[in-house]
Amino acid sequence: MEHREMPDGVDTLLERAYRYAFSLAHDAAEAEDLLQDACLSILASCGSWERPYLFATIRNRFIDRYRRNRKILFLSLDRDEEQPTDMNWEAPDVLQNGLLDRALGSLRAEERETLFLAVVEGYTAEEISELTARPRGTILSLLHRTKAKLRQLLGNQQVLP
Amino acid sequence: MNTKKIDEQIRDYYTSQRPSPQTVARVKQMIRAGAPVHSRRRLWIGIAAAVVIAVTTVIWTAAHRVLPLPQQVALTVARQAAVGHNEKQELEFRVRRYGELQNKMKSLDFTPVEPAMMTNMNMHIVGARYTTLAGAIAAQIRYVDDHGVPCTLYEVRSAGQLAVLVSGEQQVDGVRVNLWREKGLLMVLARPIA
Repeated sequence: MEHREMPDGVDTLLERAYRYAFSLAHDAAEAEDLLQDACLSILASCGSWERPYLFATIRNRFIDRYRRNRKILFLSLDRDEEQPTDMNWEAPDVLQNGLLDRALGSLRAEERETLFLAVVEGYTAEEISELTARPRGTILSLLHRTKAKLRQLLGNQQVLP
Repeated sequence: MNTKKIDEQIRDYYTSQRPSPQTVARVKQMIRAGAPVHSRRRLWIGIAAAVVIAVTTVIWTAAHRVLPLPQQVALTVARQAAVGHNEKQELEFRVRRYGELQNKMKSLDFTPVEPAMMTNMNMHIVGARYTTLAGAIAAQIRYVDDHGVPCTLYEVRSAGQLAVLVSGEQQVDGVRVNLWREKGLLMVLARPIA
């Protein structure tokens, strides 16, 4: 074995990477596995510990795992470009009773991923487009539809005023 | 009821997600330890094996490149010509003069020309059909002599593997097959052995 310098801010990096993995898998154990797999993969290939590289590796590991399990992962998203409307609406505290967790769980992986990258990580549509290899217009459209879907999901549970 | 912007709630939700301390410790230990040596060694072994296989394949292919010899091609052509002559398949074009044939056979990748030998032998054209000779499109032309004895002339572009053929005569299945080049075309004449 060969000893290495720990990358700067490793704790923050691992936490953010874990959250990204969690946004894909929506399962804590699965997210931890993805994180470990990705780190092992980077170590084996002597890859970079930069965040975009780690995120891309997690994404690839996620796709590999689901492809192996023959699960439907990402559906075609080619639609006309739509501008995202302001969906930053006021909502009751949907965290408290687990409503948001259930609503996010019922979204597709690519919907959660896009939402996470945009809302939590603050990625621009351009940056998400680069990471996910999808056209920018598709990302904007997906983000718009995901937020609308989430609002509907939360609304159906009668949590919105 | 406590209300908050949904984006903030999504942020709060994901920020509250954290890997277990055990996982973090394990991953940090992995990073500290570095790449497993066996994985890197395996990578190099894989690359070396791929290079060896590629080089071996190239050398073997170059050394064993099987090209048909001119004699083999000539025999194949002679056999096909003899079979075609013996089968006497129905003609697609019936003509009295060679010039008519040039007007009718438009799908060839060459213009058929009448060999001097046929006139010298006092052969009369009867008709023709499309065929292939060693994979190349050819004109199969039937002639008869003054006694009505038929012979079959094949004309084909002298290209590809046919380009290596040399003039000569072969006897196959009771048929004499002559092969020569004339006006840029390969001529193959099949006729009964006298």
